[in-house]
Amino acid sequence: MSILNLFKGKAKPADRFERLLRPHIDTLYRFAFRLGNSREDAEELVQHFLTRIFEKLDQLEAIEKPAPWLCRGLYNLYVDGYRRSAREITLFNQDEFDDETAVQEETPFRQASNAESLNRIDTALQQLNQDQREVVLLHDAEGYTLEELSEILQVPLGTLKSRLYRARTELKKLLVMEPFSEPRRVTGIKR
Amino acid sequence: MQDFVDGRLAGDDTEQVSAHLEQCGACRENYQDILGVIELLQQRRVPPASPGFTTAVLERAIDAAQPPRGRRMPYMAGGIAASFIAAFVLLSMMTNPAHPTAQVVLIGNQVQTIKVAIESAHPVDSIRMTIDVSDNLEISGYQDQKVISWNTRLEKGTNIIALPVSAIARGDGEINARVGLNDREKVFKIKTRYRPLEKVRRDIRLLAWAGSGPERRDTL
Repeated sequence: MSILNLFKGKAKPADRFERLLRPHIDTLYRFAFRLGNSREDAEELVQHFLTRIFEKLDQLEAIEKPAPWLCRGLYNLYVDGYRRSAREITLFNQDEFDDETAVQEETPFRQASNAESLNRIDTALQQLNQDQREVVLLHDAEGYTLEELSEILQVPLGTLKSRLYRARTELKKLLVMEPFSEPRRVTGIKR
Repeated sequence: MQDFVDGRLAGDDTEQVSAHLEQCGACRENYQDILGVIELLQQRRVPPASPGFTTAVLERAIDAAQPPRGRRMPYMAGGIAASFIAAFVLLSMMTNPAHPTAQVVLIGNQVQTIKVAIESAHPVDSIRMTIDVSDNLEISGYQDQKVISWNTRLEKGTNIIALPVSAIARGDGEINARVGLNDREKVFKIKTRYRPLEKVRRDIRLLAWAGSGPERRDTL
């Protein structure tokens, strides 16, 4: 037994938990945000998830790459919670605020991009079904591969691929249908 | 095409698609449109979590997993329980004629999520929800606003609003949750009581000390 293992055996569960989880909190928060589009909801979901998995510390320590396992657990909790509390009003869903009240919350990420285009794609994203929205955001915005998402979401690769492609096609259609002048309708599409 | 966009094609296929795109305007436009959609999605960034979130979320998860401490720290156990129970305010929209009032204890300047549950006997398509807080309180993410307002709807049954609030100054405070429907308005009041963090810690120390006396050992 190495010295490291000796120390590992003596470490308190709280310390082991913190050491193991701390590097993954940001990943979990980002993943959660992509699911619900609300900082408050994302933080609450991560909190709820961490509280539940503390008792699975031993199991977690045995996993070589915990990130997919953690994201899968978080996603399962989200799906479970979403189905049970679909009636919840999300206070910080930015779409529900008028521009004046939303400015403060949105400033950090909106300043860096074209607010008009983002508003438009937000509106378009709301037209997608939940499955399509999740995969297109996690793949195209967050950078997960389809293989990673297949493992995390427990959905066959082919199904995910189909959802992703349909989501993009639908988004493209929705954005092109916007009643704005042609050159301004979507920033970033080169014509 | 989408496989090509994602770089999922083998070398030969990639070359063939590339060659086709050079010749076919319609496919080239489709390709550029998909790239444009992806580019827009990538601009849709994730706002940073609240300051100190990583540490706070780990601490709370660890605290929640600790076994009950029994009589050693009765104030702390009671205080935490009280803050969670009081923070979940169940309010009936239809049955209470006066302004329903609940009380919440805010500890120090920590952000606490106060959940307001509004019970509605019927679905309501469009309501105006307004939250206002007293000067010594702050809604997380809306530091300079004492009043926020938005349109939403109520489903039949329980509708929950999660409200992250912290105290920015000592003293009692008040949160009003106003539900407006046409020209009618229902106001739910939440009174807040401030308890300094250092006082909570001192109480815990005193109780831990008191609990270590012979009387306590006799009872064990």
